[in-house]
Amino acid sequence: MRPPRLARWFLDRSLDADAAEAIGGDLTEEFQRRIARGRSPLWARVWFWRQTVVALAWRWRALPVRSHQTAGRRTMVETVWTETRQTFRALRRSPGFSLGAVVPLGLAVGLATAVFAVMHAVLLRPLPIPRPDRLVAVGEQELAAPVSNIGYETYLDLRDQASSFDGFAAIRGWSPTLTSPATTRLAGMRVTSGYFSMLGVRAALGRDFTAADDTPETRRVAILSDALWRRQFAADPSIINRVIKLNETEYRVIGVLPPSFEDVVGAAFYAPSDIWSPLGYKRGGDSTCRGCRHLKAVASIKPGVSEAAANEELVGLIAGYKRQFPADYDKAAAGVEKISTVIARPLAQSLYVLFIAVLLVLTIAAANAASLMVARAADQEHERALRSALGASGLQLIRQRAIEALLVAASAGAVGLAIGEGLTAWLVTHAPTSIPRAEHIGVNAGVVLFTLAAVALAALIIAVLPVLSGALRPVGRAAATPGRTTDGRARVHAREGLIVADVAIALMLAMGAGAMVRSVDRLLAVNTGFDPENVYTIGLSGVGPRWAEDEPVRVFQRDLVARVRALPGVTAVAIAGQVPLGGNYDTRGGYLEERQTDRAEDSVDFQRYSVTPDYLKVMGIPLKRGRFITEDDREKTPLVMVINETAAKKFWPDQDPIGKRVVFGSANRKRFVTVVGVTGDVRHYQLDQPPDPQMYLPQEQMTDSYMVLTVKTARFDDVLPGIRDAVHVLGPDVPVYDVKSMAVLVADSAATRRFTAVLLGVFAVVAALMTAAGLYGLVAYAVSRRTREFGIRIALGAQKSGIRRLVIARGALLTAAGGALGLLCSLPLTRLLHDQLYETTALDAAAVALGLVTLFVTSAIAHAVPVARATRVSPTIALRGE
Amino acid sequence: MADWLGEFEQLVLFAVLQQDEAYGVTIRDVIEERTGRRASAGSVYTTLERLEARGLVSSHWGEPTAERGGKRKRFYRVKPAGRDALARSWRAMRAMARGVAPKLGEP
Repeated sequence: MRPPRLARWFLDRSLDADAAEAIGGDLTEEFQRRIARGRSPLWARVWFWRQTVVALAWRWRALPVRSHQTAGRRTMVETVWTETRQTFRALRRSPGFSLGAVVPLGLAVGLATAVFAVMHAVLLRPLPIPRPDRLVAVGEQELAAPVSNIGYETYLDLRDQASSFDGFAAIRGWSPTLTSPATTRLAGMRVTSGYFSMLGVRAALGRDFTAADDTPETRRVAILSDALWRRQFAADPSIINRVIKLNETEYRVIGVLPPSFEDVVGAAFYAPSDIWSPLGYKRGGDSTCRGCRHLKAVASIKPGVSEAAANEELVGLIAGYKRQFPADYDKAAAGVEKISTVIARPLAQSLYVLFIAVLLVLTIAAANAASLMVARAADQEHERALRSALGASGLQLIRQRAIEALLVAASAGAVGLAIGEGLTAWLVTHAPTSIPRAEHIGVNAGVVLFTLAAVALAALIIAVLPVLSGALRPVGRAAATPGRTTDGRARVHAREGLIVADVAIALMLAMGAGAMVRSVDRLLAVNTGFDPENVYTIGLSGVGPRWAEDEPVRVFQRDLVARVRALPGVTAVAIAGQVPLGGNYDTRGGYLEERQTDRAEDSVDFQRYSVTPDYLKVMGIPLKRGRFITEDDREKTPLVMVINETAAKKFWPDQDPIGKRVVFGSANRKRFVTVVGVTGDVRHYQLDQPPDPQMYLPQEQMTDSYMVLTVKTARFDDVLPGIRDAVHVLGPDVPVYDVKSMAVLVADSAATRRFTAVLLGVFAVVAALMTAAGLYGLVAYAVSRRTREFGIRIALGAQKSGIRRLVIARGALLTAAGGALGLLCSLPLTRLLHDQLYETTALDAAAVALGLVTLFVTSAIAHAVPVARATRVSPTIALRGE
Repeated sequence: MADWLGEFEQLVLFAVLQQDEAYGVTIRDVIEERTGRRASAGSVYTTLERLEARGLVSSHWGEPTAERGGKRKRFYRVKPAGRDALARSWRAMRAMARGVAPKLGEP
């Protein structure tokens, strides 16, 4: 734990070197002591910031003060400096006004800074590669997310024929198990030989892949990331040409990448990689057909060629392939997309929404500060009249206001930076894990620049609005008499206009937050089709020659299931090839017996789950018809499958699916699989995507050595060591990884939306509070200005209810106007939020209701105190001034 | 004139005298421990700097440590002139308090 970086930066920059070293060191030491004593890091950070600010203030005060006697020969800079200090002192003399203006604005700047810090890292910071804007993902089918896969031969043709690119590579995800020196599963990629040169990366040690490495016979070579090299091989420089074992196969290490390399392509498609090996395909080999779409293509556009031109060329080429091989390109829609866009996609929309929301909050805060300035200007009318009577020019008066606005905004900026820094640190630790490039999130130079811009904008609003409202127009000498001021109509209108805008914005934010919360609710209420309660999944993979045959895998599975079932506390256990929401997308295409042709459009796709018999019991998936897989479905017994209701409805509408047959792979094969049962649907990709056709096959008949052990148990923590032991005894070389709870998988799948909902909710609350404060200020001000009037009215016999109506009428009108404006403005909001919402709209009845309730409560709070004060006006006191 | 000390300056000088190796953190600790008064790092340092400029204390740098983020400690020592000034202020204080201590509830 280290003290806030930004605060240390301020200390280092603002103090002379000696003071910075002594004070900075003292504060750091004490900060560590506080942490060591068990104080919460947040409070320690707050403490550090306070000490920093106090230290800066002390140093500033210690500077020599220029004497006023030399006024006659003062330069412009000195004048402004003196006036700044005068204004500063004046602001300190009215702490109510200063805090009222600075704190909310600071809070808003802080929120904006934090949101921008995330946005900066995820969306704006250029990728750390030589030409980040030229690197694109190439899709040949649907370019919508995620970029579609590509077949190897299509890749080869594009690479050779497309002239818009100076680098073209194909990649696929790869998760090898390193079995020596230690058993670990790695995140990796298989890539074609031009991959690293396309990215502009050179090996720090050893060499890059060459075309000679990229063949089926020579591909057993690997390049390591710097991190992996340090972690597993102790940064041994003699690693080059050493043989390591991946999936029980020998690979020769030929290179290590530099530490600065960041795997942006991996981050875009799979996960940042630690190890790379050549793809090693050849034309006409296994898995290279045009329809075998399992690769991703990445390319760099030539300098001088536009993205649009590259896109156009690709579309033309793919259209040509489609004419040549009509069966292979059913839904060709080629195109390119920047890798940076692909990486940011999961979060981009949320971030834009949050950013707009936070800018709105900032606007309210600045408007409130401006409103306070207008009120203050009115209160100081006689002072200004006095000054101008004494010879102060209009320019001087305006300059003083400008300085005041800048000081308020700058103080808010300082508060905002401190809040923003803490909030950013909090966001990084509490945000959904899916934030790409999260390691770059922080308050850096770019973010500080944004904060400065926000502060400048706020200062402008604060300085200009009072001027526009006429609050600062030259006043007559009569106004120099205190207590005789009149309330300018324009000034009131300006403040009222601000309130209407505040109310509208607060309503929009409340409605947006309401709609998001409702979406999350609906999403979590979706029937997933399974019962995640007490269900845990554990990844296992048997790799290497021992597991290449089916029989050893079957024996391992049978023994493991038996051993785990015997553990005390285990309700049910099964093995599956993949689980819902698990991030695996295993589908298998085939043909229905009654429609066996060789036309691509007659093929059908199923999500495939290879499972052991107790799978339904573990997952709590209902069996709707027929039977599920049993122990009797063996290698030699008839091939069976169980399908879900969606498959039954889609492929055999109005028929009994039981007894129907399907053939997998190419159409002319004769290995029929018979449907024996129908289960309920499960949500596989995401909670918000409707189920696809799904099928369950017996592991005994469709064996897979990549498997997920699924266990239902109320005492998982007690059971897990037993499972590890069992795996270790049965397959010492099988790594146990990815231990997850199904309940967590379900919750995670709504995590980004929930995150957005929570933040929007916070913004809405802040906006509502600020609006309430602004409204309160306006109403209270009006009441205090009309004290005499109320006094006279009461003296003349007015009822309390009449006075109350008088006060509320205006405020209610403003609130209603703001509400109407807010509803109107929320129409575009609906479109903005569209993709974030699930089965709801921003104009959802509940969201609107929530917004209106917020509005009503806000308005009521703002009126309560001034109304009470107005009705308690004592006529004698009010008229004493006469 | 130059040798009269402010109240906070006296507290800081006493704190430095208490210890063999006085620096910012320990000075503030001692003041807080004995008087219950929390002094900020900025005020203590500024005061020490002023005292040093007046020739009442001297300072030297220690070694950088990790817990201080690689920064050095600045150790302070009271010079004879500082000792005299503090003694004078202290005598003045006692002289002024003579006879009225009971009124303040002190023995």
